Amino acid sequence: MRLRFDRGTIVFDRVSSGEDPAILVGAMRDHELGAWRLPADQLSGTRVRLSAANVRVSDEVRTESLAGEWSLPSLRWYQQRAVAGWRAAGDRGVIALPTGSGKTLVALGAIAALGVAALVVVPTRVLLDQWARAIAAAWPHDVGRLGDGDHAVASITVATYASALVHAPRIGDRFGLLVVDEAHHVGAWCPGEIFEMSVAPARLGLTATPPPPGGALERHVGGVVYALGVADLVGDAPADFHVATVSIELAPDERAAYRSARGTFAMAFARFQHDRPGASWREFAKTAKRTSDGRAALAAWRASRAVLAYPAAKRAALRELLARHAGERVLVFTADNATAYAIARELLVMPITCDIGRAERATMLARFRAGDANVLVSAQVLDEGLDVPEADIAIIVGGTASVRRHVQRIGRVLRPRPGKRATVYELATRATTEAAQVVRRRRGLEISQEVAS
Amino acid sequence: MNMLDRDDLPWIGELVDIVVRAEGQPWRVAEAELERVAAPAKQLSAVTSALRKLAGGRAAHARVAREVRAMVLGAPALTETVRAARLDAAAATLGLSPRELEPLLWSDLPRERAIELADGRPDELDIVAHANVQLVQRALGRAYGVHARLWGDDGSVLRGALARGLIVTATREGDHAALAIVGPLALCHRTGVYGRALGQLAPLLAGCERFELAIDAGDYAIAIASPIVLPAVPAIDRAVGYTARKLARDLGKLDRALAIEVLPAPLATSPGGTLVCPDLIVDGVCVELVGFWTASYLDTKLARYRDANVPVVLVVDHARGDEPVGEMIDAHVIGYMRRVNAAAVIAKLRSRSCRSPNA
Repeated sequence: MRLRFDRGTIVFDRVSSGEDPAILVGAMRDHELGAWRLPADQLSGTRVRLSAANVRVSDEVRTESLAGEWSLPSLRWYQQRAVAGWRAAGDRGVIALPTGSGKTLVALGAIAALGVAALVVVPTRVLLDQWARAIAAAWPHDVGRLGDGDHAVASITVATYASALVHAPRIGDRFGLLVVDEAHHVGAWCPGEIFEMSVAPARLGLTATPPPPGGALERHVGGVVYALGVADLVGDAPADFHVATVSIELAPDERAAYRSARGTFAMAFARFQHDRPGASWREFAKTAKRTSDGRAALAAWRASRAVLAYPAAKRAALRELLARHAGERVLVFTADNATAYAIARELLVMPITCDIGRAERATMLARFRAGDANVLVSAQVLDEGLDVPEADIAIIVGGTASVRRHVQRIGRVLRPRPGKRATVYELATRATTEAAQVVRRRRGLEISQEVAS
Repeated sequence: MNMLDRDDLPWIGELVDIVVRAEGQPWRVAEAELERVAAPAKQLSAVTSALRKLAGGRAAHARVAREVRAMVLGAPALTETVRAARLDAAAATLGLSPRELEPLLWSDLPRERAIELADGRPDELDIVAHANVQLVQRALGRAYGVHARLWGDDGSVLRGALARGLIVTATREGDHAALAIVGPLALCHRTGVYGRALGQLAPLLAGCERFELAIDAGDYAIAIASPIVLPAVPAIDRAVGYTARKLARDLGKLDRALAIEVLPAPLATSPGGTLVCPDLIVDGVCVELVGFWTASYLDTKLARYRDANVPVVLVVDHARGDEPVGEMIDAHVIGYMRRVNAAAVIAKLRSRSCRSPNA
């Protein structure tokens, strides 16, 4: 029997008469090619089974090994333990560390320790750039980049989730190690197919906010093999911080518009919940689009959110906070791109969104670091992973109830710098859904810190 | 599946009216209104997307928008005076008025840029055609695989599927071609990657006189059949046949007397038999470029050409093959590494044995 990689699968052919294809558990017949196929990630398990059954195999799948000469800074105690824990778990699993604790360095340590070609997949183009620079600083060879206009593959390659998916059928046999940054997205934003089409037996997930066990992340990467919380790292990594909630009052006309829109939506939603108890928001949206009443309810829901996104009092509060922290580096987070652009338009500050190209983004981040453009506004792109130790202040103009997203946002100002104390302001509109979201986020944050500690 | 046709023109006209009324304002203003039009959700989304595609306009402003942002955006302008001064200074540098300058700041951003209808009111039927492509693409995007019956096809669907890494079994059945198309990983389960590849075939369907698609989406099936309003087939499908076109150019340069037909229609091996899909016909000999291959795969291919009673040369990639091509070389096979050697192909084409289908 011979096995090779082709377009995200392992192809088995030359199956001799004495060999039972049933040993290739789950394999499907490709009648056109006259061979069997399995998803590429089944390679390791199949090799073991074939070996145990004494099947003679011509194995033509070869991942690359890495040239040495790393110049890594020395790892902190917990980074060393994280790499050791991951290796002890068979080079698979998730390392959960707080934001700002140096997860990139942990990954570089793991790649260097393993010495095999590695593909690093990241959610955004901003992080693609950041990772490529971090690798280039420690490893003296060309770093491959897939995404943001680049199509270069090298022994260590960084790819956005989207580009990794597109290229997976072509490059799935090159790498022995898959590293996934912000690994809590696996199975959703980060499609499982990236992992299925890769032969890499070694897999490392990095996150500050691991999802519950049993999901796609565990299936494709492994369980949590090492975890520390903020409290475990006092004095070692993340900066000290405090969170202040700024209560926002809607103007009478805004309050009236909010109540009217919210009322229209709430009635329709309550009716739906009565008819379909336990149905999800997604099911509601799908059902609502089919009727004019439903569409009106969805439009009202959007209108109510638009009122809360950036009412007059948030405008005033934002200006006041920016004046108070004049000259300091501030990250402003909004609920959506439209609000980010509204703030950018009003205050002539730079929006960092998915619409902004690589060169412009890099220039603006450089200006931010230099202090020339000391405020950046973003809806999502800056939520995760961005390393800007210079940022001291985060202002959350709008968000969701997601604790994970909130923790990630706070994490942007926790990157350590000597003497730094970060401040996070949450603008919360009184007597609206937003106030409840703040309470839920706060509660979730406390729980996550308790669990972490 | 409900495709759009002339009956949908009234509500599509309503959408176009909204966009025309919003000309000069940001797209987000029109989009908020478009969402309220009473229409089936999938169709509405496809039409909105087609409208944006046809109205276009982003690329022309991208450079100037970036330059203006670099000049204007920076530390927060917390008072109106500071804001106006910064806009004035930038406008003066560029020789514009501040009123002209400000819209330029966002003129390349999809939802922020102003609606411009340089070619006038978009044609509703054009919108229907482009929206239908999206509807077919979305249906194919959820598929494991698709069975297509194509009448009057020039082979572009078959060739497009092969070029996108899909596995195709093609046969001639009476007056039409029958294609069973599936992605390699999709043999095991539904995949986004190969769903997208299947979706990319949708625009090519316009080249067929008639077609029927039976889409296998796992727990349900979708049937789509012509007549459907679709836009004209793209003049050049660049993903298809690049290497073949390059080889044709190289062959032509070496010998101008060669009669070269690029991307001919697939040939039936026998009445009702499997289709073969040569990339070129050179002086009456079929030339097919082969990607991933095994010895038995090549044997099957050669047998099909023999069955069709047409001479062939298979040009196979060493790197994606079964074993050293040297062991495989016969009258009809030539190997290559990285780049096809056109001179070697010509030599092979001129060999007598190659011209005998049964050699």
